[in-house]
Amino acid sequence: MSKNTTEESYYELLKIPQRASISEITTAYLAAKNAFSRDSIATYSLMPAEDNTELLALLESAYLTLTNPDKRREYDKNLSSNELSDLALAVTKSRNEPSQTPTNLKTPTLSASDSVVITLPSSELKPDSIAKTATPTTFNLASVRESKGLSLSDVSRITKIPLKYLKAIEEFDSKHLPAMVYVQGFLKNLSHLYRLDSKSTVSIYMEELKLRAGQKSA
Amino acid sequence: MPSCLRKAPNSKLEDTLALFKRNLFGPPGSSETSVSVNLPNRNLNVVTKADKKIWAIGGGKGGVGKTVLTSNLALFLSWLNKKVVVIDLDLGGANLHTSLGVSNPSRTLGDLLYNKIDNANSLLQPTVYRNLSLISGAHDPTGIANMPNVQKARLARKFKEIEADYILLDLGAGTSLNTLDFFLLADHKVIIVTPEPTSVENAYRFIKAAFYRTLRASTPTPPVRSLIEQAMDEKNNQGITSPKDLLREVARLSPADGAQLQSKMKEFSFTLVVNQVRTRAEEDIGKSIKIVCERYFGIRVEYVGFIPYDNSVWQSIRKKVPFLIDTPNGTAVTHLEEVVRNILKLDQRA
Repeated sequence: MSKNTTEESYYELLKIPQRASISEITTAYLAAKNAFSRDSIATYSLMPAEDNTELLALLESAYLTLTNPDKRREYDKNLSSNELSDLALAVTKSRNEPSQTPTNLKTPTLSASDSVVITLPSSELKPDSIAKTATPTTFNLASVRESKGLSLSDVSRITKIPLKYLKAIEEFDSKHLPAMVYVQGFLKNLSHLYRLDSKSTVSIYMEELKLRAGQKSA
Repeated sequence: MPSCLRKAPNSKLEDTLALFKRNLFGPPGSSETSVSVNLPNRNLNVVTKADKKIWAIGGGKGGVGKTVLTSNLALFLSWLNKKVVVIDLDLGGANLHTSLGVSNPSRTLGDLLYNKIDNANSLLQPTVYRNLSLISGAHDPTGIANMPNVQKARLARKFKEIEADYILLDLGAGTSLNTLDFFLLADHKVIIVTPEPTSVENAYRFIKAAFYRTLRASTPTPPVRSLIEQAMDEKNNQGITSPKDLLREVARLSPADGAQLQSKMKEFSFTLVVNQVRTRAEEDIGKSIKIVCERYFGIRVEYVGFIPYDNSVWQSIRKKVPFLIDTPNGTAVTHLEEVVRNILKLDQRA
């Protein structure tokens, strides 16, 4: 595999195959973020703190790029030599159903296992939404949900979580969130639906929530 | 415990428990199946290395549970109707015999080392557990801990003559060359870590030492060898801070050596077990260590599971009985079973 200037591709960084689904990407991203986080016990005595900040920033940009279908396509094009990208395209073509729209045909995001669980039409694919809402971290439940082609009301119907709470959870709106026990329970339900690792999703979400609350009060 | 509360994965365990009880309490040799299984092995004088699996249990820090896990892993393997030998290589600090309830081993590793005995098989001490025997290092002269290379090589050769399906090596704490060399001898290099900074620090130190030891043993050219020796000194002035840096430097110095090292590192892997897990957050530490290690060292790490902290374990140690027998329904047992199965799965994949 050809390598670009950073030596290591985002896929190698996250240790995932090049046609990984959004769920696989998010799971790998959460696990890596967990491993290299500031208070992680796993990096103790092995890596200097500066290394970690650099790596964490790299993880964020990897996640941002790979979960955005347009950016990912662009990235893949730059990354691989001609025959490799042809191969990837052929694979994604064969994996997608012929009835789907041309834009979906090129996105290597929905794997076979995802389409089994979520049968709703992917009508609301908005790639820009990730960049807009991304402030301190790029971890974003809205983008995961959209990558599955689900609207807020779809998720509310499936999980029985009230719409206003779903909205508050996605926007980290601590004023309108229910008690934390409920938030944790809702997050577990959501990560189950999105096929994410529930433990790391909850822990990273809570960390992020605290971070944002601190920024507001400051 | 009512049977309805038992989880499905335990059913296999119950089979082995039943098998074990029959073997322990029935008249010796009454189980037809186990005799016929073991017979081919007994008739062979020399078992080749290919069908013998050596597991080494190490991990740097003391008190993380190396000896307790070794005796329980060995016992579990013996319940699977395998002939298992455990060897206490915690030289100068041997205590494996106590955790298996053997109070005073009559023949020990020292007898083999100082040429009193030539055949390692005659060192095997039977335990009360069927299929499980022990080579103890108890009561050996304290000088045994500083074994010269010639004796080490001889011991390693002798281990390979032992008639067994599995040989488990219980290693001591620290990064002495003896410990490292016996660790690197094994097919499965199991590292035990507890979720504490002290244990993680020592485990990394241990991995690093094992890593450099392997590299040094594999490279013949003197300039590369001196480079590795410099890298082993953490305060070196070559700018080599991680094993990945070292590999890059070696490749620059001599591309042939670099390629050879790369291929050697590809075959190399550690097996990771996290012990004494107390909280939900600690359950993820194994995964995190795997990610960090693979990034930092560039070595494959097989994370095979964790053992929860369980009060019944220290109680079993006081009774000098493996916890598999003392509390067969404990949470530690379920997780130990998973660890064994995951390690055995690695064999099938290879």
